[in-house]
Amino acid sequence: MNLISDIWVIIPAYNEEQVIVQVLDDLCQYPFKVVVVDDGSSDHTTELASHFPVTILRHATNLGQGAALQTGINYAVRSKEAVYIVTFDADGQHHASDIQIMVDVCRQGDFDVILGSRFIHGGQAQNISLVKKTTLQLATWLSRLITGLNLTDTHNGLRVFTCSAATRIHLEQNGMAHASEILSQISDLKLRYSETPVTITYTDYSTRKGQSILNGINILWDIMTGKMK
Amino acid sequence: MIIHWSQILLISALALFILYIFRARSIFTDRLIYLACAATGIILVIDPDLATRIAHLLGVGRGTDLLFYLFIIVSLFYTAAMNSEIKRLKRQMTALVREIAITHPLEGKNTD
Repeated sequence: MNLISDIWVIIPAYNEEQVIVQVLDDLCQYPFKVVVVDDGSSDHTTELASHFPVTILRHATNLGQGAALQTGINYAVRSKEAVYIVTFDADGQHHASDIQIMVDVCRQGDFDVILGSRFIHGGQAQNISLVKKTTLQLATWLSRLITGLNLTDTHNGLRVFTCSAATRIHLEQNGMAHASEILSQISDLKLRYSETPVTITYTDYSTRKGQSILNGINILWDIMTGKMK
Repeated sequence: MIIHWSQILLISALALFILYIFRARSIFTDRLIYLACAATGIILVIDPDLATRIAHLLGVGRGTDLLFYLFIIVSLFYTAAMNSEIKRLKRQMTALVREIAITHPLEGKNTD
């Protein structure tokens, strides 16, 4: 294992006791610095995570995924050791093996941000339902329209930021609208971005924890009211 | 002049409100606004025709309608003010919760 890794993986987790062990088992095979942000969970998420060589930041109350990500990012930036900051979902959809490839692309291509895509050539969405796929593609189309970014998958939780790019990202949307907020900031800050194929595995668990279509309407509302603020 | 029971009830309620304002620790200007509202209320309860006369002056049919319109406008402003206050509090709470989380990290077991 490396002593100090310059790749910091931020995992926002809210009541993920059923999968957090599996997710950390996967991640801890690699020499990454892992930061779990427990977003005020009422279950054993923190306790289970503490059996792994990770740092756990605990929100005293539940604030939302966007807020948890921002907390992890701030922590990584303040450490002055992080060179690449990765966002990674806690529900077991992502594969840790995709991270190194994304960081390599970021380094070699001199990009500010690398976004994971399940729909680009080479990417995979295992066990995805037709309804989910249609919704995501609709969301992608809408996000492209709003942000003007040329992307194939706008709601993927696996992203790599260089530390200096992450310093400039400020998430005001505490809830789930942060995915779109990140994109509009990438666009506004004119960050150099690219997509890399990643594999997303849908399980019964992640489908249940994930966003329902109805909630998509709420997210849209958050974005619109956020824009008018 | 005949005093109705309803008038006694309404005036008592407004008097209680004034009492409450002076006991609660609120800002001076806020107190003045509340006091003005309560005083206007008491005057309108004592002289119910006054509202109608003002309404006629403004081209509104009844005093009740005038009060209703005013109520809607005031509620709108109040809701907007409350909303931005809640947003401000949320931002402060987020900053606070974040700062506590960052300054109190928990290190998991090191398996090295």
